[in-house]
Amino acid sequence: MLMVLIIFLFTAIFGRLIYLMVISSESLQIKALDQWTRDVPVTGERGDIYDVNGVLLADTGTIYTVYVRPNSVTDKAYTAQILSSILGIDEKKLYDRINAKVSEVTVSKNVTSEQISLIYAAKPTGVYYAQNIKRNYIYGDFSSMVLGFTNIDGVGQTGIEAQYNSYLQGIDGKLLTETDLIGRELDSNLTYYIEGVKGADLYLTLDYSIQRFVQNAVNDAYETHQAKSASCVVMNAKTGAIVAMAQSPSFDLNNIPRNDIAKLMEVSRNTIISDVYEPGSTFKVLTAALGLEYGVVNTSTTRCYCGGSRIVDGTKIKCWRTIGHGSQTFAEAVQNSCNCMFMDIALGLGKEQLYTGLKSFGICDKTGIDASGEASGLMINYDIVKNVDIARIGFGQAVAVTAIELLTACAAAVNGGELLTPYLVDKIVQGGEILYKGNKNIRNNVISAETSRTMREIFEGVVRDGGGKNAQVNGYRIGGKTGTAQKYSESGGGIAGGKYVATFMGFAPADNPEYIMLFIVDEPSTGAYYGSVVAAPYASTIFSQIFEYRGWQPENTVALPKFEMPDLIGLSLTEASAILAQKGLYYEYYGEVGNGNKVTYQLPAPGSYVNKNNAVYISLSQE
Amino acid sequence: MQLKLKTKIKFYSLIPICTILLAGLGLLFIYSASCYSASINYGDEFYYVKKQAVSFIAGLIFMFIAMKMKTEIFIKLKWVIFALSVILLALVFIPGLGSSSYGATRWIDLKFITIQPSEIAKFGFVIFLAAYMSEYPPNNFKNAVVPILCGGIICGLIMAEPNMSITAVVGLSLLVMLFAGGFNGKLMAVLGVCVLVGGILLIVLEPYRMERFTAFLDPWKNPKDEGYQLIQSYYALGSGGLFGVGIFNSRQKYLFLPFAESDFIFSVIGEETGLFGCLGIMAIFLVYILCGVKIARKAESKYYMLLAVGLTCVTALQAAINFAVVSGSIPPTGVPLPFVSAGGTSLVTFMFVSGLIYNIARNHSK
Repeated sequence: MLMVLIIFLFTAIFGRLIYLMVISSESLQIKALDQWTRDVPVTGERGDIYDVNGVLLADTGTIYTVYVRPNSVTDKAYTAQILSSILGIDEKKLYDRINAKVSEVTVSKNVTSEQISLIYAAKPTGVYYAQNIKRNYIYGDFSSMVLGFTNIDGVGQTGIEAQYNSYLQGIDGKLLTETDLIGRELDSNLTYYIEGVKGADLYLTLDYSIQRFVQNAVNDAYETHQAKSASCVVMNAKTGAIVAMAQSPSFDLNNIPRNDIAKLMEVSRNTIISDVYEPGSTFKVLTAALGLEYGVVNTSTTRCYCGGSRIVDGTKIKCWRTIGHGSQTFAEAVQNSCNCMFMDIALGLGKEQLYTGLKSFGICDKTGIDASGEASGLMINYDIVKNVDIARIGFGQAVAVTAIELLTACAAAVNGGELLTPYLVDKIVQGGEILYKGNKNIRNNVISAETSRTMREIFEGVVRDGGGKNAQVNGYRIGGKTGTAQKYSESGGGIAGGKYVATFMGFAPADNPEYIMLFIVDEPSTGAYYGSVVAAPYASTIFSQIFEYRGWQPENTVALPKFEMPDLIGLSLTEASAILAQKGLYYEYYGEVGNGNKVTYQLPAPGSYVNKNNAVYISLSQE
Repeated sequence: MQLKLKTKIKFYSLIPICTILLAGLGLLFIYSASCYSASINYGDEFYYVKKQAVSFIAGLIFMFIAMKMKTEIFIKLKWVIFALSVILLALVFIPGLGSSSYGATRWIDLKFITIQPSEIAKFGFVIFLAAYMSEYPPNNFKNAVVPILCGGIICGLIMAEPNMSITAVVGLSLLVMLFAGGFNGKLMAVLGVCVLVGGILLIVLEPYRMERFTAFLDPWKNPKDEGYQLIQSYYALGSGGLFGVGIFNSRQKYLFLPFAESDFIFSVIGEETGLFGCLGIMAIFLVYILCGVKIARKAESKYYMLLAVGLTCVTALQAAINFAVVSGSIPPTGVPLPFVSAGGTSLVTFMFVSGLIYNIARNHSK
């Protein structure tokens, strides 16, 4: 009986052993493996960023993180000495740290492979390292706002890096080291390395060359005009693909001011999509398009008389040319950028047609561009808007838009009526497979193709004969519109005296636009602030570079004779305008006429060589 | 039948053969299980093996003495043996002499050597029982009073250390021997219930036993505290699988598994040699136990029968409890695996006992 009992006992225990050692074996091993090893994450390499043609803009380089496990250090003084001398760290502090009762000390996260070799050669004990990936932006301060940056852990924080983080981010691998209970590495020194998987490569719609032209232009504008900032965006007018997007001042992506968050947020904000501003005259493009589309104006019979102002519901609203433009056709009024004309159109449309029309142009809506931090424009609430406001909206006041919002609206006005979604990413590729493709997306058909054709003709006239003359490129057809808007003080309240935004919206070729651009100089402070003289010349520079880059041949080049710019300083406006008319020069002025006011400033300066395509800016005041 | 065919010599030779085999395997696995912790703690990876080897040699001598000695002497000396057992057990409570570790006072520290009295006393008690019950067969309640009372004293002293598992071994051995001595079945049942109730009471009274009890049901509830030891044993056994990870290749011995060289050496054997290795060790024990039972059956007198039953019973119970603890079949309790676990007193006494059993078979069989 005793024997039966004992055999039964042993059999029962053996049954239990079978359960543990055969049936649960695998699950127990998995759990055990967890405690047998210490793992160090190995970052999966982040995907590269290219321009539309495959020019590399951002890639990743390898750096190392060096750890010390105090338990495994046999000679703490030596380990501290070697690491501090190679890595340039305070030896005393390091020695104290590896003497602490902790399982792991991170010595440095920014170690090069050369330094690793040196450390390895010196054979200190208890030192471990893990591979890390550091983002490397090939051109440093280039397209910084578009590309954005990652945090130190390689997670996208702004721009494309943030927007497409899930594609770009790699899958982390692991470095497993066998250790005993308290983390001492075993002599067998078996380590398992699970390789990280590289993230997908991203191709932007940006064209490196055009981006470079634009970047140079905004840098020049920023410095020349001592502006608060200068920015420019160039879009494919037919597809919505962003070809270039730049602003100045900018920052070096390889040297991000991470310690100063406020500064970082300030310099890294993409003003083109995140900031709203009062557009001024460039907004007249939309008013004009709506006026034509709804039949408020036409190119044959419309005439507008401008006496320098309009009285709307008892309020006098001035035209920028306070002496008035006289009687003009619609096209002439657009060339003159006559505020009275656009007040007439806006009032003619009425608030319902104006608001629904602007809404169909995407005004006050986000464009849906694939970048983080997009803002949307602002308009006075429909229920409380008064006629005075409507008249002002007609020429781009009492309304705020983002640059990208205005640009896509203008594109719709001249590309046949298609309101597009602008986009920055052409495609995302991983292992030869296209994971994502950026495509043309029509949000809305705003105006008829016929209206759009008329718009192209009218705004080509603005560059040929009107305020956009400085944007001309000899032998090419360009359309566009200048804009000069007063800024409101940032604390709220009224107009901030002397602060302006000079803009130019241009498109080319004028009869079949492929490129459309918006060039913005925010708060130029060297005297001139009109879009026609501050912003438009940069458009000319950029367009001419694009045409050359694309290999487009000029047609009907006219040799324009150069002559010396006459000296207008000290003359009255009447005298000055007579001289300029005789030379065939278009001009704009600032200041009150009369009261004995004289020309106190002119651009271009007296004596400089100009041709009749130059637009002239003069300002009037008491001497 | 087969045993007889195979062993032309005498079947009872299997007792010393199994003893030396198990002790030898013990040395091997003690080395494997302790080399890492010994080199970390003592700077000598052979620290435990050396101690065990010395004990093994001492054990061989004691086994040889036991084989040759006149075992009748125990009948005369039964009260002396009992008294010595009680004194030995009491000595651990004398300050300066008793040595504690892990919250239990189980050792006598004689500076040059440490002795674990319960290892000796449990056999002393069994020898006393065999001698007493052969004289006063416990077939009536009166004759059973003295064994039960004496058992109570021994159990009480061991429990005071405390050492639950050895108490259980002694108590259960007492029951088995009472039964073998012809104790009344009804009284047996009453006594069994008493022991069971007592056991449950002990568990409930001391909270740490309750914790161990619940830990055994779900060790993952408190993986860092009560459940830790058992989980580590599971990891070892689970990693071993069918064939093991190979001798010396245990991962759990890297300080993860506590008492890897002593109470939990069976886990390391399981990890390194797998289910088949465990089966092998259990088979050797089974052969040893069955041999012991057969020797008891063939014993020439009641005294030798009871002696063989008692000695075999203690060995069998202790092995079974160890296997059961390691495999999580019963609540964890610290008990060494006879012959195999590191522990000098344990090895020497178990080898001495093997000698006694062999002696009975050789000199006192029908």
